[in-house]
Amino acid sequence: MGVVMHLDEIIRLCYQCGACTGICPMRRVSLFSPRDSILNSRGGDMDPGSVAVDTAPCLTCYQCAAECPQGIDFPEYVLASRCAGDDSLVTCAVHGTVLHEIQEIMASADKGIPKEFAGETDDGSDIAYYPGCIDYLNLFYDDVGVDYHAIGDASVNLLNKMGVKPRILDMKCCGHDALYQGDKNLFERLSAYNTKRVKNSGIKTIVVSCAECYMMFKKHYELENVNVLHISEFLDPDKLEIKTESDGGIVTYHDPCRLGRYCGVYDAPRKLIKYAGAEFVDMKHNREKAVCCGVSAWLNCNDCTKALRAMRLDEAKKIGAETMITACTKCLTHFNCLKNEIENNGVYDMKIEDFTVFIANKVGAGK
Amino acid sequence: MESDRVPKIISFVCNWCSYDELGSDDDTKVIRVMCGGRVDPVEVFRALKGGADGVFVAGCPEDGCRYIEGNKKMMGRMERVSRALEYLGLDGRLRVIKATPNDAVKLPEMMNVFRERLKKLGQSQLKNGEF
Ligand code: SF4
Ligand code: SF4
Repeated sequence: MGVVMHLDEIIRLCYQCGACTGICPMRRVSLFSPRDSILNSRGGDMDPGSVAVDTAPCLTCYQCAAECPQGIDFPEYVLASRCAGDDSLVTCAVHGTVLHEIQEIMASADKGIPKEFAGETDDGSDIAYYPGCIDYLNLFYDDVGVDYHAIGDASVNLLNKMGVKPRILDMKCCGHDALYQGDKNLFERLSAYNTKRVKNSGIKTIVVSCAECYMMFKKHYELENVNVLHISEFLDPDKLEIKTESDGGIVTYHDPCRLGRYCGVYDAPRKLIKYAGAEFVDMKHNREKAVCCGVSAWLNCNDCTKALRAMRLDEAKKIGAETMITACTKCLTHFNCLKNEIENNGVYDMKIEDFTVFIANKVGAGK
Repeated sequence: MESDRVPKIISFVCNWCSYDELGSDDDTKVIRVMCGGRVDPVEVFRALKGGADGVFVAGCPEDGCRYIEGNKKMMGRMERVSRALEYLGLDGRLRVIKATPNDAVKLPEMMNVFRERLKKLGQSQLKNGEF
């Protein structure tokens, strides 16, 4: 696992300047303070489990890490303490931990991620497409009004347009939620299986449509010699024939933290959205400064983070966006959930759409 | 792989239609719920994860629910669960029954049929079933 710093090292390095707390989105809506959390764990009387509880409100959004003059990776500190503690935060996850149960079963069951999507696939190809848990989201999160399965259909269709018939491997969940909830054991079981599958398959490139899976393969897996690409990096505008429709109004893009701050993918999605003929306008906070959707690994869905989501949608509304695009299934879920709430009826009348679905519709590769 | 091993079943049964007809023994645990709509998908997954070979859920038929539409919720949820189990390669390990109090007498029989089916499927490999 990619823990880069030890808890002690972080505690020693931090000189309590407070820059992290200044930028932390959670601080805007609660009393949570990363600086304070580090201070609390000084003196060595706090075990990792207590640190994990103390830092439970952290969204691991990575905003603070870029600001720290000491180069302290606070989200890594949070992750390390969650994984080192006796008790993971699994039980704090919302939706009755249903996805966690499925992931646990998946880790021991024969099958994992469903592979049936529109478009053509080829079991001999050395380019693989990894859809992630979209079909499970479709089953248990359909009330937010997102067709997750369409993301897989759109991705395979787009790859077909690029002249690629991808192979869809028998893989399991990437383990993102398990890891960030502190269930290191489950993450290790899933990642060991996936790594073995990928290595034995002879795949050279994996194309991923979800920001979280992408970050996991890049940062927490050891897939030597396998090129992991987000679909926005793989798609070549010159090979896609855009059937430009400029009717869509203003389009904006929300950078998922896993894709943006964690992996530095900012330009590729923007380039394609612009190429697709959309009138593209960035929100006030964009790229490195994009504000988190407020829930990571199904933790912290509460009134505080709801305010963060509302602030983000307000930013999109302010620039007159009719469509907000994002490349993470979780951001998609959380924003749509807020938008569809009864008390928000009509407040946010923009469309919140997945990146692949948006592009696929523009090139005639949608459903 | 058929053996004499009796499959382990966890059953969630509605108090109003089915509970009186079914009894627990060493291999079958009957859990009374006040409504089939009370059965959360998480509980089915947890039962399977914990070593059950199958899960049996019984609730009232349409228009028979004491809580207006708990049975509809039960059907909606259990449909999703069985789709998820299909994805996971565990099809056939969930049985959902709608029974009026009158045809509840057939429940032990239905349970037997389910038990036979589970025998054919073999022991669940998720965990060696002990409960
Ligand atoms: S920004 Fe860095 S040095 Fe400053 S308080 Fe935060 S963690 Fe400590
Ligand atoms: S990772 Fe994000 S939520 Fe966590 S302390 Fe840093 S800025 Fe705050």
